[in-house]
Amino acid sequence: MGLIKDAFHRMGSPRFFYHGSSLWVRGLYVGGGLGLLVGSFWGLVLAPPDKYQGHSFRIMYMHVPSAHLAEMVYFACAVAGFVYLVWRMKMADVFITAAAPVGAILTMLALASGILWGMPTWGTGWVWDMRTTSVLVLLFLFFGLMALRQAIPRPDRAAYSVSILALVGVINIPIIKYSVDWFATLHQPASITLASEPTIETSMLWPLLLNAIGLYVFIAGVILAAMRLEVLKREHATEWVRAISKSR
Amino acid sequence: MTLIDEFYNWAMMDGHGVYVWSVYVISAVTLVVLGAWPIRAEGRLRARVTNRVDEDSGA
Repeated sequence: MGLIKDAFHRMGSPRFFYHGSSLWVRGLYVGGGLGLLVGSFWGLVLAPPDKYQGHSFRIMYMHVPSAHLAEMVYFACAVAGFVYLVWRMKMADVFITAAAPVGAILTMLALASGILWGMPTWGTGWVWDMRTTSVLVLLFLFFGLMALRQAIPRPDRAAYSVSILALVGVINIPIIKYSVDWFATLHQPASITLASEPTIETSMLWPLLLNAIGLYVFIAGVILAAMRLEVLKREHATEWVRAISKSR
Repeated sequence: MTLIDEFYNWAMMDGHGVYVWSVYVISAVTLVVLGAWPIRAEGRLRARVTNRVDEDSGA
C-alpha cells in the first residue's frame, strides 16, 4: 500500500513523470501497432464472412474498439477530474488536457465507421436513435472539455471547470452502454459481456480482441506522449526543461 | 480464374469492399497522424526552448 501511495505521489510530479515515461511511449507505440496490424490482417483476410452481414461485418474490428475506447477515455477523464477536485493534482489536469482531443478523434472514428457500416447493413448511414445520439453527445462533451479550457484564461480556474464538466458528463457513459437495452434502436446489443458467453463466433472473436488490445495499448502511448508534450508546455520556463533541451 | 481476378473479388468483398476499405484507410491515416502529432510537437517545442536557452546565454 505504501509503495502505491509513494508511486502516486511521485507521478504527481511533472518532472518525475516526464523522465519516467520516456521509454513507455515507444514500447506502447510498437506493441499497440503490432497488435493492430496482426488483428486487422486476421480480421480482413483470415476471418470468415458473416452469415447475415457478409463482409461488411469486418468494419467491426475498427468500430467496436474505437467506440469502446472513446467511452473509456472519457471515463478516465472523469476519474482524473475527481482526482483534481479532491487532491488538486496537477498531473490529473494534464491528463484531461492530453486525453480530450484523443477521445474526440476516437469518437469521430467510431461515428465514421458506424456510418460506413450502417450504409450496407441498415440501408442508411445515420438514425437519430439513442445509441448514435448518445455517442454524438460524447463527441460534444470532448469538444466541451477542450473549448472550456481555451475559454478560461486562468489555468487553475480552467482546470477546476474542466474537471467539473468531466465529472458531470460521465452520466453519458452508462446511457451509451445501456441505450441498446433500454431503448428501441437499430443498433445491435453487445456481443461480448462480462456476465455471459460471447455471442460471436470464436474465429471472429480473436481478431476483435487483438485489435481492441492493440488500440488500447497504442492510444495509451498517444495519451502518454500528449501528456509529456503538455508537461513541457507548462514547465518550459523551468530549469529542468531548459537543461534537458540543452542536453539534446 | 487468374490470381488477379481472385484478388479483385476478395478486395471487392461482394460489393462491401468500398465501405470496409474506407474504414480501414481512414483508421490507419488517423492513427498514424495521431501517433506522430505529440512526438513532432514535442520536438518542435524542445527546439524552441533550446533556441531560447542559447539566446539567453548569448551563444
